[in-house]
Amino acid sequence: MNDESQGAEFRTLDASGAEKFKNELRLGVESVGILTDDNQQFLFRLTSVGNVLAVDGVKAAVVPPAGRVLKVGESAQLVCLMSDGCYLVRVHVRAVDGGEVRFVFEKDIHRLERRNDCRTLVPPGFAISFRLNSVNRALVSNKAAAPSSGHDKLAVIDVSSRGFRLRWTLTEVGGDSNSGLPELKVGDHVSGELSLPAGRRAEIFAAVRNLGSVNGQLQVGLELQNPTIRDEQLLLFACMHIRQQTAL
Amino acid sequence: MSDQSGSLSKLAEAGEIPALARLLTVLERDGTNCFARFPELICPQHQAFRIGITGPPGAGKSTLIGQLIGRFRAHGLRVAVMAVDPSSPFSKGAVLGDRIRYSQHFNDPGVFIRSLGSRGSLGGLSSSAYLMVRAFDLAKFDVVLIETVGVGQTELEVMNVADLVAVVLVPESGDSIQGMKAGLLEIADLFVVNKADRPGADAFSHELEASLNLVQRGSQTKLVCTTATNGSGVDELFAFFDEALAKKEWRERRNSSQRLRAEAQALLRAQAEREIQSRMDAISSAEDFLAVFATNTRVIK
Repeated sequence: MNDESQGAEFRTLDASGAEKFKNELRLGVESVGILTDDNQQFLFRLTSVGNVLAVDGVKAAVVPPAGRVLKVGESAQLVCLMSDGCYLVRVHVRAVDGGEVRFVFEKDIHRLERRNDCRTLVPPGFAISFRLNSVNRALVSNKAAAPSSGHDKLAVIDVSSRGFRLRWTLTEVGGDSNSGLPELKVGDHVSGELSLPAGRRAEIFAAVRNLGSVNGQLQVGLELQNPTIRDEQLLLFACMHIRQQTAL
Repeated sequence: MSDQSGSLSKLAEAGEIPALARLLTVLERDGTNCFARFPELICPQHQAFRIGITGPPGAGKSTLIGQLIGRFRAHGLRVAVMAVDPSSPFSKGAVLGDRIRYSQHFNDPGVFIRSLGSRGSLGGLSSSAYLMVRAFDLAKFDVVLIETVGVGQTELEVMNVADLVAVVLVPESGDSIQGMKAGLLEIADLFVVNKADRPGADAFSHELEASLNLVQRGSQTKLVCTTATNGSGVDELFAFFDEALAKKEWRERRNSSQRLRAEAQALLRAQAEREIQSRMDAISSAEDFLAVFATNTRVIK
């Protein structure tokens, strides 16, 4: 699920991720948000945790007592902001006692990802490209590393503040070519120069996070390694530039 | 239904926060149709001062807003916070996001926090935002803080709702911002360089100030350095807002033809989109398709 305008994406946690989330909950989350199915929003304090969550502690003047808006058997969504991110889980009201509500939650737990990364597709016309210098510290001796001629760069498909995705073919006059490009595997490290809008450039050191083929073209997902805040800002502003320029 | 609706707005007007929460849900769902049911929204007697706070992700907007809420409350002002957040994958409702961090203000009856789902509003975010801030006027809040991540055009458009816009940046934004001549920089009445305890903050502030003087000669755009995590500089920022609130010039600006037209455009556009959507929803066969256009076009007969 992708929320384009916020660069947000929800990922369903696997079993180990879900267990980690529950353990974190047991350590304590000070407050949670509750969204009812008719889009009402309430903020609560989490008073006890375990396999059953309970919330209360809000004055009736601020929001109605939980028991007034949530009935036994109803479902809602619980939003928990934790040190490592925002989580979303569907809950069912098991018991209501005055201002306190007890929930059981569904197996699927979603984590809100990429919100701060602002992953953005690079549309045609935006010259964002990458010139590869090395793979696993070995210099690349091909056109990808040659001085810029306008046809020696790798096209960037999407960009975020944490990394970018490349089409693993060199842009050639009259067609694409991957001749001379090394084969990559997940975990490889690459370095090079990323060219961004408005003439900005960033020296990049990144790890290969994923490899995939789309319409017969190899695509490589790269994640920045130990990026400086300046680098992150450069990429972030590139995303913002694209989004503002391409708005309808 | 109308009786119920009427009582909802009256309760909200009387300061009943649960009624306000329900009213906002209705506004988000029904859009401009609500003007017929809640005519008092069209011309509220009270007007809250709307402060827009935007900037890139991670700039510290939420922490800054948390600090500002405290300052406004200390001065006895009632504060509403409206923030654009991602929409839930289960429903179109907002995910609340960083609003949960304002836990120190949960039990304060003078603070109301509401998220606006980025995908939940038919007809665009701006129209929902315009309607919601009118509800905050109705509920007699003194200040409305409007937060958006200033990433895309949509979020920037939400800032049209505000009487005054603060753009929050960090010292490391320096290299990036030079290339951005439009968008985020154009809408700012005030720049906040947050996380000013980081290296390079002074240099960036001077650079930004110089470029502002260059680009907007005679501009009154102010720049404030803050470190929201420890409250440093927040008093100066609050003083700026407090002074602007006292001047009341914002009331004249809000009632200017330019602002009113922008609001009318957002609301009418949303109304049209709703109408189109409802007509589309009614189509399940070729006959339905013909019926949609037959009302407008004799040729089809």
